[in-house]
Amino acid sequence: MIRELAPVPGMPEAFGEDALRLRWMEGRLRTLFAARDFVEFIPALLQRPELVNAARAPRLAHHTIVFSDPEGGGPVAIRADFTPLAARFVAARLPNTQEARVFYSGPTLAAHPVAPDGRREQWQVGAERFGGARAKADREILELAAHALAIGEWNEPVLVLGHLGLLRALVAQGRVPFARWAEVLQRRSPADAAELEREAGLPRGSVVALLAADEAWLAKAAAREDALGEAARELLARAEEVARAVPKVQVRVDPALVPRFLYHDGIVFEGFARGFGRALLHGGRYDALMQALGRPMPAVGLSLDLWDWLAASAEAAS
Amino acid sequence: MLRLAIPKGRLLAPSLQVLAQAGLVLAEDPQGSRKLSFAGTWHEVPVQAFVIRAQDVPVFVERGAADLGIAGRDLLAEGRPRVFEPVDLGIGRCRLVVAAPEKIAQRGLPAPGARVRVATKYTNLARAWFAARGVEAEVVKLYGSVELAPAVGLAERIVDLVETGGTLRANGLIEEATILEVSSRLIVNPAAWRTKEALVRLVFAVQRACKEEHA
Repeated sequence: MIRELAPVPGMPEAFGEDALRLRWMEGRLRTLFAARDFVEFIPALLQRPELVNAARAPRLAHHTIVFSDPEGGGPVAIRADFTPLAARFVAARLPNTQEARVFYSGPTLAAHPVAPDGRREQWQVGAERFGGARAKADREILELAAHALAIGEWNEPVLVLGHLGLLRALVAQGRVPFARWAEVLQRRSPADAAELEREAGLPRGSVVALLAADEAWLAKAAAREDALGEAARELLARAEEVARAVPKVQVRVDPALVPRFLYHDGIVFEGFARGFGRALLHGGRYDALMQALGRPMPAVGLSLDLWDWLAASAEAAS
Repeated sequence: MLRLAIPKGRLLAPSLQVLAQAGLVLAEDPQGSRKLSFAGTWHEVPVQAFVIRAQDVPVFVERGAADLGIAGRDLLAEGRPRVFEPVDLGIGRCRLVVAAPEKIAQRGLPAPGARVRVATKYTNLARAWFAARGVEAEVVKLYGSVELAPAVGLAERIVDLVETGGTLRANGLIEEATILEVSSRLIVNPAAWRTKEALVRLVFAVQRACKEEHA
């Protein structure tokens, strides 16, 4: 194929049935969000690189393309994730608003593949909830995530809940940065976690236990009067509430769940469907990001990639 | 149905052994067969086992074509696939090392600020290891016979897997440093882990079998 006609690697295109299906799924999600008083937010394509730095998420920085603005605007970054943009919008443009619900839908571009098929572009759809009581807002977003999963055309959706406070409490006294722990937990390797425990000077098995943690471990942790106990109680309570509210989606707890980007600091979650090889939905609490943007207020949200949803629908249909 | 990706070659026999100890029964023995796919059961759960190149196992598991597989720590560290690594099986033990001809090795490892030419198929691991020591590595990617590279002037050093060290010695190379202790790991697709309960039970069964084996 001559170069002019060759597609750029990692950039998907849709036509006909696929395009219709994408628009249909987007429409269903927009209806779901709007029915719950979420207001649409259409952010700019470019952002300040400082916003990515404020998120203190090394993996998000790794995925963000930065270039020099030919119009003299200095360094600018192409959006790789909507959540920091929504956070910046609320912090900068809605300074007197105590509570806000926003949703968005649009493309993001990553510097490196974000899916095993080499795709770098995502069609990110999501909803963010700012302000309000934390427990209530978490519940609202978790229920929204469960309802979103339920509208997909796949079998046996599962919503998995974790809490970053568990890992943070366990490694707080260690000498190893949190990002390295997160990397090992994302691979669920007890062998590597044991090695890191030694390097961090933490008691043997203290973090490895999290990898094998079940509901009994969580119940025991919940009985403690410290940060670990608080995180465990919050996780168990939210899991029970969302399971009761949306029974058609299976809810599980996974104390070792670690999100893609590390700007989260409380409840985190991922959605799956049987037969599809990767997560269909992500989300969690990110109060620390709002704090870093100079607007300390609670924040929690969810996002998904419509291209993955298209692939999952095709997989389920086959 | 559970789908397993099992590596061909030297890891095939020990992989089959550990899976059999965990209760996997295949309808026929993949060893010596030219077939790539084998039906079987694990405690009445239907299983399809694919016998494929070791390098392809992480790809099958990451993309969900297989729920579970067996892969060397070297491949996982080099490629960083998004998979879980819940069990170190302790099979296929070897080391990823830096080696050089005697004359070069006698001078010691390159000092910070130096630049070296290294032949390897582990380009990411080699670059990262030298970079962590302040050394810039010009990496020559080879797919095999890496030990030949210093002799023909392709590189001063190599980074390669070593089991006994026999091949290094036969080619006049001396081991200078170990980058990674390698053994094979059970790897799992994260989405399958969350949606297939039988898979979680199989992983725990393999874990138990390994503990009994090494007890």
